[in-house]
Amino acid sequence: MRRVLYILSLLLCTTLAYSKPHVPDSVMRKSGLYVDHMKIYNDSAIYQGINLKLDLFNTVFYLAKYEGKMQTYEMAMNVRLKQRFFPTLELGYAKGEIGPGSTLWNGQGGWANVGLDINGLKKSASTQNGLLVGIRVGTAVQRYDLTNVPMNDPYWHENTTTSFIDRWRTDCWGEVVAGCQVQVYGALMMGWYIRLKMLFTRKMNGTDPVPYYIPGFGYRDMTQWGINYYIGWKF
Amino acid sequence: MKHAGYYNILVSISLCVCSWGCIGCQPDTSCRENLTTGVIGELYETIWDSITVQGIGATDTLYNNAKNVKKIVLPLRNTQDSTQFALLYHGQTDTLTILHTYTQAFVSVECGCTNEYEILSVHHTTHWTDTIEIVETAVHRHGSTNLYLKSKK
Repeated sequence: MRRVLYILSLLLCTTLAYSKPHVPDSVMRKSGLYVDHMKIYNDSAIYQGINLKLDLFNTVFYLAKYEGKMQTYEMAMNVRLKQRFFPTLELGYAKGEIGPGSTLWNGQGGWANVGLDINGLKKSASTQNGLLVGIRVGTAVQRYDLTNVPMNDPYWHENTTTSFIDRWRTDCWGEVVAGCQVQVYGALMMGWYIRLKMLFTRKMNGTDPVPYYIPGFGYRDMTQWGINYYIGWKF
Repeated sequence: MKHAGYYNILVSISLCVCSWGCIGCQPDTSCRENLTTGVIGELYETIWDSITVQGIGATDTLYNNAKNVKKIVLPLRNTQDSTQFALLYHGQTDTLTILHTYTQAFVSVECGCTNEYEILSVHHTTHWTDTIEIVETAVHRHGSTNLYLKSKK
């Protein structure tokens, strides 16, 4: 766990160290349309480019924590509009075999988040840096088995276990996110997000079991925190 | 760097949050639900001034000379479709046999499963018990009274 934190802190520090110094927009425009392979858009342009990002934190974190028994991959795409707004689409996939105690969740599924970020930094055509806050709505579909679920009987002592095989479930949630993205070198971007997630689909479908883990949301709970550390490319 | 101050603060905050998140993101796995599922029996229009109840085949006593009991909860068996109890009241023992079905019900990952039951019929000896009336056949957690027992006295 400490190694993961150490790696993360190194990545964050790297973001700082290599973040592009701010150059006045007027200087950038005089030098031409492309600077460090980055297209400079006119201030009045609505469309200001697109970012493709890959999450590193969750992939590394879950692989390390569960010693390869849990894999999660996430990519994100946001479009920069008017240097201020970032409509965002995030897609991911998770697969794993984890559980509390003897109960085991064995499942896989995909998720999608859509939302909007707002850049809190001063508008600038010359830098893609952003201090972002936003909201998301997410949904995940998963197929899962829940095995070795205990049924304890403290009086008759007839303790048994049961399994629920090949179940499907769709969950929905909302997120409030905050983070930043930094232009590191040329079109290479880095950034991170903190997310507070609130699950909307809290009820069980009859007596069907609910999964232990929801792809894109995390461990099933009413609320959940999330972290992303992205590396990306500006187009 | 113009925004270096911002980023230093953000990095500090992020490291704190990451540390907290890594430790705290896994949910509490202890079960806080009451999983007791049993037939709820009531003595009609009165209370048991003293009663002893034991499941036939069980090693533990459910109520051992319990005083002033309004309701008794009789846990049914998980893996059989009948459950028997011995009820000792005023020095006389009656045997109560409950025939039932059972269905597994998932509670949560932390708590596991419990059973829900449907009472099919009730049979009893008549040493102190006069009649037993089934008022609710469904037996589940947070259930209501299932049986009214009428005493001869």
